[in-house]
Amino acid sequence: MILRYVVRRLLQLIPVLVLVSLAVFLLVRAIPGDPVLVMLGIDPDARSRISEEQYRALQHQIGLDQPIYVQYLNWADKIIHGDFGLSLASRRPIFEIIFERYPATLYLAVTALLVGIVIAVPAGVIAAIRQNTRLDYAAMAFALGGVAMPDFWLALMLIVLFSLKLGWLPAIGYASPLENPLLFLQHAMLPALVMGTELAAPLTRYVRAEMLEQLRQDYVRTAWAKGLPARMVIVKHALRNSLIAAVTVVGLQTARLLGGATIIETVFSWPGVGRLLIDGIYARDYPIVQGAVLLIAMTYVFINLIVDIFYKWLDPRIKLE
Amino acid sequence: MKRLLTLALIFGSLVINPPLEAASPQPKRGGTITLAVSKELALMNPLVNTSSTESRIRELMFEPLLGRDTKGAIQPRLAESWEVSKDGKLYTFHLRKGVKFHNGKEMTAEDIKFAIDYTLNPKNGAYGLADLEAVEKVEAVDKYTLKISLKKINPLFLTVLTDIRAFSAIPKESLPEGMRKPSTFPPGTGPFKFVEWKPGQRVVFERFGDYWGDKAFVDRVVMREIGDATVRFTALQSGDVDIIERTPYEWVQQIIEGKIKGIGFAKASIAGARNLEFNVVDQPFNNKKLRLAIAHALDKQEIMQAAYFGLAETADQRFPKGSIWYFDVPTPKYDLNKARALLKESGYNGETLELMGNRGEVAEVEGAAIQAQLKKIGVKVELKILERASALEARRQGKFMFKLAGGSDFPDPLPAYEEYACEPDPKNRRLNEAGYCDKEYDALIRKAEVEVDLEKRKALFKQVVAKWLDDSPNISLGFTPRFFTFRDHVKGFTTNTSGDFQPFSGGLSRAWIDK
Repeated sequence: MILRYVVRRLLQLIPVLVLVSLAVFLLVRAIPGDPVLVMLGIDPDARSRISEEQYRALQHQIGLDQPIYVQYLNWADKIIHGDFGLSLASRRPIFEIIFERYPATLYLAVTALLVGIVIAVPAGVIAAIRQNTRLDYAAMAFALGGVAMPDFWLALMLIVLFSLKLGWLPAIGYASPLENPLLFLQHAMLPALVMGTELAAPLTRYVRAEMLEQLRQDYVRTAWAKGLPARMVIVKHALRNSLIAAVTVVGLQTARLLGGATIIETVFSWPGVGRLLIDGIYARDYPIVQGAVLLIAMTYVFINLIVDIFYKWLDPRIKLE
Repeated sequence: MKRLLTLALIFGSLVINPPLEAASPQPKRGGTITLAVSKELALMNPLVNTSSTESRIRELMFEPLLGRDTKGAIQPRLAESWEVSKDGKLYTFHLRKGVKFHNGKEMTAEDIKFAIDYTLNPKNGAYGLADLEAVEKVEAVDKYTLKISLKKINPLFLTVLTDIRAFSAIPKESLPEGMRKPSTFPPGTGPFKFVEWKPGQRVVFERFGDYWGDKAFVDRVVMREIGDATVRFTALQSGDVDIIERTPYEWVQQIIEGKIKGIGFAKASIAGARNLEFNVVDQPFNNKKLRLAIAHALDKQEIMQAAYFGLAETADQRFPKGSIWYFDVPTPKYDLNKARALLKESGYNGETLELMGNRGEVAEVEGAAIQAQLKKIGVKVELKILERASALEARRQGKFMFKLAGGSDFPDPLPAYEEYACEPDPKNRRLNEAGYCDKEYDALIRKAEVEVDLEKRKALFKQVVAKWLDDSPNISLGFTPRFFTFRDHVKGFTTNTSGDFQPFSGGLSRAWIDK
């Protein structure tokens, strides 16, 4: 049953990816700028010193002299065969470049996710069961502030405090958790806190609202009446049923985090996919931008699928149709 | 007596050494220097790559045949001596003996021949192709003798061989033909050798113990890419890195004022230049009087002050005052009355002029200053700030009225003024983005291209510059410095006026750590 559902969802993925690939392919070419010139332009102002023949040769070599639909079909044909092409700047395979960067994005996303959940779920639950108390107001102030605060600003403030003033944590950089978990945590702490806050802010509100809703339900009143301990009533009954909405938020946010947090990765000099994408756009490195966006789109779709399956587990009444 | 002697010693040392020298002890060996660079390494091919980070790496790992000292004179480097034939077309180089590549092999004439041939093969897309195109044939006479024959006389040939971007020595057969990516750097002969590259994280280099010249003091150099200048400076302040390149001027200003402590800087005084260039092919700037009106209306001092915190100097020509290539010729000076008169003669009818600039530079500030200054003579200017790649395309196709532009410094006046020689297609401009084309100017440039005698060259370029200023397809605004900043424990680090490391002036091979 679940398997058939998954297969059908995967098939639905095809038109989505075709549309995304077409959109990114056209959009990246709609930005003014000539990648051949960028490849040869040394600095923004350096005048291109190559001859017309050299220019044409290079243009031909990277296939940009063909009509745009031929370029697309060639690219799509390669993608189907698992070949994402070569980067214009470094002439290395896109697949290799992206997957070199992907672990960094993944580790940061998971850390940020944990930070976000660890903050948001208890805060939301406490705010709900202590509704209209100072605790509730504090949690809601955090949530409102977190939503309103620009992430780059928070990032810079944290760097100023923890790196410059206190000197506790490094301002920038990365270490693989597989090689040096402690160093990874030191480096990931600030970016994860920023991204976690961003995630926790709306999540706290959702958890609180859903909890309030559930706490008013008859089955909760029954649970209290039959003398269940508070922990059982809140965690086992009310919280589990409140999580449906939270899972949606977490799912969408996870997809976003996995797509690479472009700004945060830039501010913290984190070697992830987000920074790769930004650099690729500036350099007009078409294959990199196309490959990265396609990958991000796939991640989105997959995460949504996982979220749907997760619904079923949380609430067996939901039918996967 | 003893006290007197001590006093004499102290006094003597003060007189002999400037205070700075007296404070710096002997260089120490060892340690790691982490340098934050603004761009990511893309390609591990020293003969092809072009970004600023790749240039920094080239200066650590590789060497050209010749060097240029701080005064601009050509010095031996990998070639110990050289002779030029009477007709000026045959160069014989005698290579330094015992120079080791990082793989332990000795450098020979065959290796140099390979590197030049590789550069000359159009399939390889090497950066130096345009510079070395005068080369007809390279011949390895014996292990240490190399003969290079030129197609025609080239007064710039030796200067080109000092430019590491145009040529670096690599072992024979160390790069495959065609534009394929090498999986590692080929070995060089420079003071540092390559260790590893973790994309997005770091590039690591190690001191080369068998270097033929002055060996480096530090054991390791780590390069980290931090694209954003503010983040780069923050990383320096927090101690995550030791040196950063391209420090924003406002931070340098604060260091000078003593507001930021524990950080020093090295200034590359003429690393860049700023200018205002007209599209002389199309309306409205095909009108010389309008160009000159603008030239007379600009207060360069004010523009430079506004955009560079007083750290930059104004310019009239492509070389600074004091250079042998600066000439005493009539120059349009700031004079509003003259500007107004010229404007009237030009027939300017109050139309809005579009000034193009690159995003992410100081063009916004410069542009605003120019806008305000031109308003004084009644010229309306609208700023059009474009993103790098878009601006590049517009410049090439001549789709602009006038533009703020930059450039690097020039080793010789020929490339500096050759840019304004006629080009065949005004819709596809290569060097001559102004689209300027004048027969007299062209003839002078053609003569200069084959003149090797210094005095005759000076006389020729004096005429070139006079003509260039008279027609003003371009107005030099100023020279802009670039700053490396570093933490106090980094000693001995210097840069040359262009912002390269360069062995004659210091850089990372002369830097050491005091802590």
